[in-house]
Amino acid sequence: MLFQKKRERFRENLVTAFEVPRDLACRETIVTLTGHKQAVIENYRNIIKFTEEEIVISTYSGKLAILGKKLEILWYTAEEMTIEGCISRIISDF
Amino acid sequence: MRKFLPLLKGIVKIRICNGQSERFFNLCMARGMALWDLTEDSDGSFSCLLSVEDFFRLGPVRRKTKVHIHILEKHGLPFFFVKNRKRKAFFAGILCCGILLFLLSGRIWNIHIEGNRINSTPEILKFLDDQGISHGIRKNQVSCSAIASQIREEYPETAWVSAKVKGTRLIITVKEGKYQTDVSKDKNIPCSLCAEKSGRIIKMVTRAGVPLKKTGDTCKTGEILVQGRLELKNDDQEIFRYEYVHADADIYIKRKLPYYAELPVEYEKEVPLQKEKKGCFLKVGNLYLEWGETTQKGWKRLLEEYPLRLTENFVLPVSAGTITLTQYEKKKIIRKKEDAKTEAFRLLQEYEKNLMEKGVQISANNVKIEVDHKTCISSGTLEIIEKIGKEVPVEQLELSKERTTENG
Repeated sequence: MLFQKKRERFRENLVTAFEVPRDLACRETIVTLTGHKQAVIENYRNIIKFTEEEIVISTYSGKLAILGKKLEILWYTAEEMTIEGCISRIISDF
Repeated sequence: MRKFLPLLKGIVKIRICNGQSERFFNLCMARGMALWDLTEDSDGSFSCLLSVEDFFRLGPVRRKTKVHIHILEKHGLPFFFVKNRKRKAFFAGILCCGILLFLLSGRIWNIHIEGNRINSTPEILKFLDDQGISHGIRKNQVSCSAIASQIREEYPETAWVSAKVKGTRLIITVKEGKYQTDVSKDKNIPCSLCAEKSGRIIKMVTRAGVPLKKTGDTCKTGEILVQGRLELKNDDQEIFRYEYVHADADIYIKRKLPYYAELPVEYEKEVPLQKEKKGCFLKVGNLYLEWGETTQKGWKRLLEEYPLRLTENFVLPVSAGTITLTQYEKKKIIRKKEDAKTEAFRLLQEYEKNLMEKGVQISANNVKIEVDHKTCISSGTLEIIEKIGKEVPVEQLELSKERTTENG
């Protein structure tokens, strides 16, 4: 466990030192919100739950919940997903 | 574009119900099957769009996730063809259109001429038409180098011509300029310079030949001014040989040019009235159809024709146009003395301007303008300075045998 923490810290320092974007180095999720109508999610794993009011997505660092009304997935690929609807909340759960 | 491209291959709208829907979406994503417009319906089922190609790959995913799939809608080109397979004429039309497009693309439909100023585009087009190069000609019948050389031969003021075929266009680029290849050839021919007009020489610069006149002399029409025959003399001042040259000189003479112009004091002028009538016409080949009133006395008729063009210079024998009839009245106008003089002076100035454009200088103006009760007469002379010197063949003389140096 200690060894794993050390390795994590080493990677963090390396990323900071070389100024590598975190989404590339640590596969961190990017959420781009345009107004309250559209959200683009990059670097996600899969869909856990999909209803009109809630979309729960599994990411590499935890879960991401998008809450709203009349939500729909406009299109999605293995890397990117576009959600449209009336988005009210985005909850990130580690 | 994202929605248009799949339509070419066909898309289906499906409903997914029962089973593990989320797992179904994840498996589709993992297998590279694109789903879009994914929505949840009110009964808990999902509907989405996917391509026909991906639809046929859904089998294993469906079995794993135990979902039920219903096709709701079918869109795209493959479904359109299947639906309209009985409409043979429609497909025959599309095929004909494609064949026509293929056949017609092998012909020239636009002849574009650029860079021409002296020779107008219709003039060059007419020449090309006479040579068999017209709109609709097959591309393989067009020889660009032959066209270029034909244009160069026909229009000597053309410096260079380039012709190229681009798509269904024939682009001809012309560059016009002074073409001076024959000058050196002409300069070798012996000649003398003679006066084509009578006058007093005021300036003479001889570059080649023997001047027979000098500044201040008067010359008459046809008189030799610069002789192209040089007499070579020996020490005894006897001519032993004739040398023939191309006489070259700048000779300026001053002469009087008579001027006479009559201007009537009383004349008729057509004064337009404010009445106008409009009409139109249609011309198809020799067929002419006209709508509107016929021309009557006291009405002027103005036609504006708009030919139908397929391309820039490809004019079809179909044209339409407008007819404007304008009423006018003939009025007798009597010029005032000052007006008549001003008009006569304006005409004189115009005449002088035309002369100056030809390279003639005007040194004095002795024109008097007089007005009587009927006409305004401008008469007198203009003193002009102009360049003369007409090339005439030089007379070839032979020396008598006694005078040759060999016989002493």
